[in-house]
Amino acid sequence: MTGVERMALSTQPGNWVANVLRFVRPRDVAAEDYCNLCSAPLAANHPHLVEPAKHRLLCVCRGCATLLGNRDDNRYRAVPEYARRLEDFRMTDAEWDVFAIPIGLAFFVRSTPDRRIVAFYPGPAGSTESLLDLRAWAQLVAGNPILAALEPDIEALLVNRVKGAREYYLAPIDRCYALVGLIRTKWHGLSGGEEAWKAIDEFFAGLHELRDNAGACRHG
Amino acid sequence: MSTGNGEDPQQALHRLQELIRVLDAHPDPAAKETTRELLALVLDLHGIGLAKLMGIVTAAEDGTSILARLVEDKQVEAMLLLHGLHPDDLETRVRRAVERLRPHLGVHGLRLDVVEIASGTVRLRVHGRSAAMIKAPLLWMLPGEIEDAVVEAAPDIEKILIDGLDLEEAAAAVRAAE
Repeated sequence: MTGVERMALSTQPGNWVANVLRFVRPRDVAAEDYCNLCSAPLAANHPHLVEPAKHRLLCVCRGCATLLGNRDDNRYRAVPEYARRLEDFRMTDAEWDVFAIPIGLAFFVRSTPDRRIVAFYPGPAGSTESLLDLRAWAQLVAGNPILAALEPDIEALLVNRVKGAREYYLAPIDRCYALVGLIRTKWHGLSGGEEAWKAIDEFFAGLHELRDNAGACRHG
Repeated sequence: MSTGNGEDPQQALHRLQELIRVLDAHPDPAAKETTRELLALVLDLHGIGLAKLMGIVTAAEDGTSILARLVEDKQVEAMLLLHGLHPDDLETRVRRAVERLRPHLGVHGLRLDVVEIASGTVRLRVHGRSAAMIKAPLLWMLPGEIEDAVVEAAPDIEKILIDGLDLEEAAAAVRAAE
């Protein structure tokens, strides 16, 4: 027997929270959209927590994000909601070339468990970690002091130098993973294909705006 | 409140679900969508404020004792449950409800266990004497009692399944015994 049928007959209010949420957020409650910590159904634009020690990104409800995201023990860290374009960022082509990253897209994260800066670039197989020239990074920080304030584990320097672009962002880490997911699913052949590039353009256009439904969840 | 009649929480929750059923079946999709969005927006406004409020309370020196007092109040607890802000997660609340049922079931020689809690579905199992040995009225009452107790503590579950209480099998066994 299933409870749902019985609950309809009960004189008790039953699973009223689930019933309200199912009506209010019908598109959001899909098979896997549950809070990774408390199993509450999730909205599409749910927040994320990083568990640095386990290199994990968790989809969570607002309650868990608020209650667990900013504790002193730093077991979980709340991912910021917004990306910030760094208008005054300075990086020459020569400085970029030193990093030897094969594509004009990359993100740099200060990793607490690894105790260093880690660089990733997206590709059709997911994200690839790049061995970083630490002197080159130090030089970049010297020229752009804002990088010293990069929040470890939850925020990245996102670099977009494809097709002549020279854009730099302080981006929430979940958005960086979203970009990786996007490229993994849309990239075809050697050059990526029109669809992939269109998706990448849209991603960066959307990065200026508020966290939207599309960007927040596609980090798989 | 003017016409809301939220005085009696039980009654309010029944009415709430009744109205949602009416809206869900509303023939005008635009009206339904507008109402849905209105409700979602009001819930979000309250939810964000409440989440911040709970953050402040949690961070306070005697936060734990304030939280305990808050959830003691049924109406405050209902509100926290609705917004996913209850300090105890779904699994903790389900397990506590099951714990509280144990003595009552034990009297009848039965044991209740949590098999699995995943993605909003709770699966429980009743062990002990075979269903045929349990007196029919109890057997008929039991699933409802278990469900009411568990769902009252966790109205945010989607589904509850109780294994080991197959009514048809029990009825067949009773007939065979006669």
